[in-house]
Amino acid sequence: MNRLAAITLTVLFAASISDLPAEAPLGTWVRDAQKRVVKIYGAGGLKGLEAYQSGFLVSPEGHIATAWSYVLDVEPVVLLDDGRRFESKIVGFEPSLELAVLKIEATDTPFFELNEEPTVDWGDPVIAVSNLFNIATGNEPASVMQGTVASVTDLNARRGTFKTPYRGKVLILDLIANNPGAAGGAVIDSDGQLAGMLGKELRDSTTGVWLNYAVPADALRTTIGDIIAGRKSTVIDSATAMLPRKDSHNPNALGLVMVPDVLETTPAYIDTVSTDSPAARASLRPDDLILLVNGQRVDSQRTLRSLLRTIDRRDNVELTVQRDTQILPVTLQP
Amino acid sequence: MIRMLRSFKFSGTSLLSLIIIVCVCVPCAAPAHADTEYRQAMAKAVRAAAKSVLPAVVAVEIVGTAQGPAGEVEQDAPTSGVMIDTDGYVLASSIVVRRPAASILIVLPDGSRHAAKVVSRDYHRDLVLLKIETSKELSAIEFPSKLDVQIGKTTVAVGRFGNTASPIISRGVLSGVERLDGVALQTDARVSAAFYGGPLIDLYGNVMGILIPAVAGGAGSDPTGWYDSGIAFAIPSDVILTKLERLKSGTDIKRGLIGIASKTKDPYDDGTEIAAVRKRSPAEVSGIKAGDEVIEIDGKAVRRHQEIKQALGRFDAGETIRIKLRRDGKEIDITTELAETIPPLQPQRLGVLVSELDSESDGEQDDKEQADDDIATVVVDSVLSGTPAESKIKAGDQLLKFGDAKISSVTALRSLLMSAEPETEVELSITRAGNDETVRLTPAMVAGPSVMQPPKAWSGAESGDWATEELKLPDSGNAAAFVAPKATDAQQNLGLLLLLMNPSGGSPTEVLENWREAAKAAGVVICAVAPEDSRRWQPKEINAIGNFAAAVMKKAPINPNAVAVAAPGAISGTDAEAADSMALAVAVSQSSTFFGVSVSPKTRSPAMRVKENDPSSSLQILLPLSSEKELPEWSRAIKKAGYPVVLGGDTDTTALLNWVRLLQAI
Repeated sequence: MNRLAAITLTVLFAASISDLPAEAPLGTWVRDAQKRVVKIYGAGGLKGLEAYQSGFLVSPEGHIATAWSYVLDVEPVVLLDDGRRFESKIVGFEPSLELAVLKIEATDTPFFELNEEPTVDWGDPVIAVSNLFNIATGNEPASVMQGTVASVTDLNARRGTFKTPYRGKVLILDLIANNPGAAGGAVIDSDGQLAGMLGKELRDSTTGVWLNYAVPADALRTTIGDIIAGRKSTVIDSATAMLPRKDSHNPNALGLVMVPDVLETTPAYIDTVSTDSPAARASLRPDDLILLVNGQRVDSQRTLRSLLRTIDRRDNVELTVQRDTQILPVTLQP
Repeated sequence: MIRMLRSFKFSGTSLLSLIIIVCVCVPCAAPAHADTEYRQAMAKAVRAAAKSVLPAVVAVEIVGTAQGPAGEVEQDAPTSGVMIDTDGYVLASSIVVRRPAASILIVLPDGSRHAAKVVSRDYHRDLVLLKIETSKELSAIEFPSKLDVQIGKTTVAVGRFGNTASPIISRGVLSGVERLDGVALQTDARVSAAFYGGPLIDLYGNVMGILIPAVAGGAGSDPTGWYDSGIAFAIPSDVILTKLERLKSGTDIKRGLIGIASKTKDPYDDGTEIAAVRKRSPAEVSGIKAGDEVIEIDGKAVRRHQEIKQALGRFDAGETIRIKLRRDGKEIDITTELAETIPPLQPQRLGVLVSELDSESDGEQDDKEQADDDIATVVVDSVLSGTPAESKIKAGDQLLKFGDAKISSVTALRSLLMSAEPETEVELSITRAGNDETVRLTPAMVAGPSVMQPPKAWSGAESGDWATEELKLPDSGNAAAFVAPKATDAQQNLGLLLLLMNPSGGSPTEVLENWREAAKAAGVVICAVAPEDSRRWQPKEINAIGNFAAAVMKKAPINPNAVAVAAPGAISGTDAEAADSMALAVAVSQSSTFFGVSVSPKTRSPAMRVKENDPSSSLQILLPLSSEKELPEWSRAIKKAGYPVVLGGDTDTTALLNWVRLLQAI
């Protein structure tokens, strides 16, 4: 056990208290963060959908980063921390990051710098600033909540009601942040730097539980910069796009005959392997259980088919299969 | 300048206590920065502690499992586990085996996947031991044999999450110990699916326990229902350490059962007298007798039946425990080996209505339960025709002993009959007209065709006016109404039926209009409750139904044993709907309130764990059927758990209500 390390840290901490670094006190930097967060009002109001969300300033010229959502279906109205009200224009968006950038006609706005490197790791304390439940109105400052980064991981929203196209690195938060209106809010580290943007409400498809998450600032940086500079964004989300049937792989063409798919989640067991097929050349056998396709978990035959639909038929397919208790990597070459 | 000063002051006052806790040794620290410092230092300490165990924390994935209707958490949710040694043994939460799966995979910290086999299960603590075969070098977690369980100390839940099995943590404090009947620690760290099977550690990296999904006190509830709620449970390390060898040998572990029934109906009442001993149970084998008082269990003093339950809760089947008893004024020590199962109850009855004589003011009736250990005299009020008691027992008889067991209360007599051997003659010691006598008779099974008829004394002679009144409880949104006698002094020992209405079943007051005459004739107060949501019944309403029963019992002289819950489907010729499933769930979950439940035989059985029938709060089930052959599939599990199924035949409202009031018969 690394008990010594923990004790040492505690001692170091105790020693460093009297030896103060030059940092802003909590009261100041949290207030500074609030000044950079805005309230956004747009479309919605029907079927229980809220017509508001949050955003934050990312340039001195009134550029605002926010979550790409139905609220932006009309040109939204933006309320600054000081209560000033602006009509805004959507200057760019990137669906794969669930990001939109708005512009208001204001100058000398306070704004967040976006760091190139991640500023937080799992375990780090954070503050979330957002207008959740539209509690703050007019010039009332946005709501502040404290919490911790529970995990830094990849988001896998494979199935379920609440899907997101975002597939990159996320900060899983140990605080109830993702409430109505919170999307687009700012997550701040304990030095007052922007750590990320609060995502929309999301149910994790693998476990079924509600997730509180933020897209890290370093993942947003390039795209926000490109949009502000008027360049076309370069983010391409090729990994998840469904290809036309004729262009993608399917089990039959690979020589995989699966056991009859009778359940909602029939396991991806191979029934037979067609002769002289990619599967036969890779020595796959009946009763092999397919666990992963290109690193994505296969929980059923349905998932197997939809994952194969995302792979170009000319490309190799990396499988991980279970044969008895052995786990084997297999490459299928078309 | 002014603003700076203000912020200085703000931080200084509100953070003072924090600083004192964190750092008593530096009184001169400028407080303005301490909050940030504290958070960052805490983050570092949490990370260091988590990193000390993370090499041994793995993700557990389930492949190819059937998805069934359950709670929010997916049946195949990835969870966590810990490597307990370097040979490939992994301890995880038994949630990974709650449904059959094509494969269980262990994802090691390096991302490699390995197929796992199930070695054994600890059913008592909801853990499972898995094993992988690998040539990789593995790290093992260390379970301390002694735990510091200071309530309020910082705890960190650790797990692995997502495709990349990234570390995930949540910080909290230790909230409680010996929860879930003595088996689990409690923490307020926010624990959801990814954490189940992962370790709960302290800030020094000591493993305090393994996290499990659980909810307290709720048979029939989804164990994952409290995810992220601030109430989470972990099986303590010191206990796990003592179980590992047994689990590694491939032996499953189950909860230990003893087989005693309480004299008091409420387990929180003072007193530990044993009312009845279950047949072929460890208690019977080791010589525990009805009438014994429990003083200590394994060295721990107990004063109430709840404390006995709590003290026994930690033990497994096969473990031998010492019990100190008081019998006839003398203390005796016995040892008993707890069992995995006890043959299910086959409840019996004599066919009498009884009450307790107040021992001090002899001759005066008193229906109140005796809270202390004083022995009450149980006297027969009436004998029901067509029962074993007919012609053997007379009204006015005082019942003293059932075989060798003293009859010290009405509840004790009930427990004795509930756990009696079927088709076996017993000797009853009684006092009749001042003379001691013995009567030999064979009790009858409660299960089977309903034969009892209400006594003549109940036949509406004392009727008066009955009226319907609306009922509203502060904590529930259910519409409800009840029909009861206007004057409450004329009658005694009425029955109570909680009638659960189907969604879109109209207003409770209207429904009761059709029941009022029958209610009055049978002497059964009826409380009709509508679902909160007009489309369905929800599991969270289970407790509300119990609260309605308690509220109505304060308004009329109701015998606490003659309380039942039913749905419209209980009447022959009515279809099963949502209320039927709900009634079944309510009765099994609230078995200390309800002694009977009646539903349609076509009821869809609710998704719930059936807990065993308890002799001191015994539940019976009435179905409008004439033959055993027509019994529904789910009734098998019900019977196996010791619940008698009564066949009501062609059941109309009168038959249903008579059965409700007769639940008080023994």
